[in-house]
Amino acid sequence: MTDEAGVSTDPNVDLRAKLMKADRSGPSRLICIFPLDNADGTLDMIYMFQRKDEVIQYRYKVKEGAELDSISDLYKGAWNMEREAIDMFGIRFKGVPGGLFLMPETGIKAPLLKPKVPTVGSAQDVATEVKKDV
Amino acid sequence: MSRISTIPFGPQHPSFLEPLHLKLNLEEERVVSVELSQGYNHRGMEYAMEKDWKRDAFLSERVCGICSFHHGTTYCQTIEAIAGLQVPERALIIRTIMLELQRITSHTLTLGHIAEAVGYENLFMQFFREREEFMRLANLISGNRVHYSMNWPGGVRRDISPETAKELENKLDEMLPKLQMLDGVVRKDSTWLKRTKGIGVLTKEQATTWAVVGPVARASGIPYDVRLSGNAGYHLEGIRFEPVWREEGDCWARAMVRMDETLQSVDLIRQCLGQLRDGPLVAQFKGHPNGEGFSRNEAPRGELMYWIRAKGESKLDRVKIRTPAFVNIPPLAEMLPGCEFPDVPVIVVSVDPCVCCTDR
Repeated sequence: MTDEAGVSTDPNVDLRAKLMKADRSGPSRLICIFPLDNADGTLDMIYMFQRKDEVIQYRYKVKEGAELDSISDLYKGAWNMEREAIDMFGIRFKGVPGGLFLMPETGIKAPLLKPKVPTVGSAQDVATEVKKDV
Repeated sequence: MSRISTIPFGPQHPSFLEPLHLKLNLEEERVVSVELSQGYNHRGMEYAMEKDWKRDAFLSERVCGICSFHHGTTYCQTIEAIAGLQVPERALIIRTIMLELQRITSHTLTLGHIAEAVGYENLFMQFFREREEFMRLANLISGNRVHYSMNWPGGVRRDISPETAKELENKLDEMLPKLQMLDGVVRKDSTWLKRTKGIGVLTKEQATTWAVVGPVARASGIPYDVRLSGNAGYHLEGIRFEPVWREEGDCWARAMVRMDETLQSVDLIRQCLGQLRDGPLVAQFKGHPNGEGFSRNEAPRGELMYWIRAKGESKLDRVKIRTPAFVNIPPLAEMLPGCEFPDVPVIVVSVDPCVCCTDR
């Protein structure tokens, strides 16, 4: 497997250029698009493709809730994968609605995001504010 | 110009085994456009599997009851890839036998289901009668009919004794002529051909852009099979195997690919039985997996992928499951427009839409 770790925080330009280049060098098959939560306010977006017998993995670090370009104009199969990422991780793709899965309005938003544990400092700050209010 | 009528199709519909909703826009009897909605069977399996990597060897099978062994195997393969485990050859052969056995039960289910959608009830019953025999064979090896619980990271938990192997071989000899008879019907019967030939065509270009996999892709001229590339867990050394594929891209081609693969699976099981040698069943592994890895397998509906990030503890950080049905169902939006309304169930069933896998 070729793991092309993206250093850019903005995959919008970089990924599209790579995919267009990949199209010229031979047909590549989309395998999957999915996010990983790093639990530090960032997500890793992983785009997996197959070219002949080689699996290629493009990886980008993006901020939580970032808006990315959809690649569903290049691969129609990307549409539902992006919708799932919207539902499960709260990431956004331009022109792509969420709502792939039927989830109630009152349900947990982005359920696969890791819970945020406040640091000691911030917890104390909150406690101080509460005291002031009292 | 006629008025456009909107017909809701599903989520509960006699021709669907599982809940899937199609909003069909029709001009008289012809489908003009379709909107799909899913998620009626979402169970949060990816989240549930983050809790305990040992439990997941059994939980992964619960994603789907028709390709449960494929899910369990692919999960174990991924943990083996992360932990660097070398699976013993005997375990690989037993896995291959079970994978092919379940492919037969899945394909005969789908073929029977297509026959029912076509209105060929007799053929439906014949496919299900033969399927039952293969379900019994799976039960003979594993002790279970649906969720086999045979896989474990590093190998398998149950062996195939010489007596069981002999019984399996005899049963396959008995079943092959019955499957060949059904193959003749699927290949030549005029009722079947009229309802499936040239219906619901998916071209090679459409199949590529929709990223479809498995028999749906192979029926549209894409001879891709994970068993031949990128699947470390499948035992194919010294085994004759060529992917089955066709170019027509219609319902008939999708049925024929499955029919030919059913017969091919019988041959693969026989070849594997001839290669069973004494040896260990499982590679020992202590501690917890640590790192990232992915693995793929050719499930009955196509490429199944697990991607896992482990952090050296009993919990897993992320489990991603990309099932074949997840990518095979959306192209219905291109296959259905232009068809007659009575053909809708046939086309939908021909892609083998497993909603359990799709929704997870």
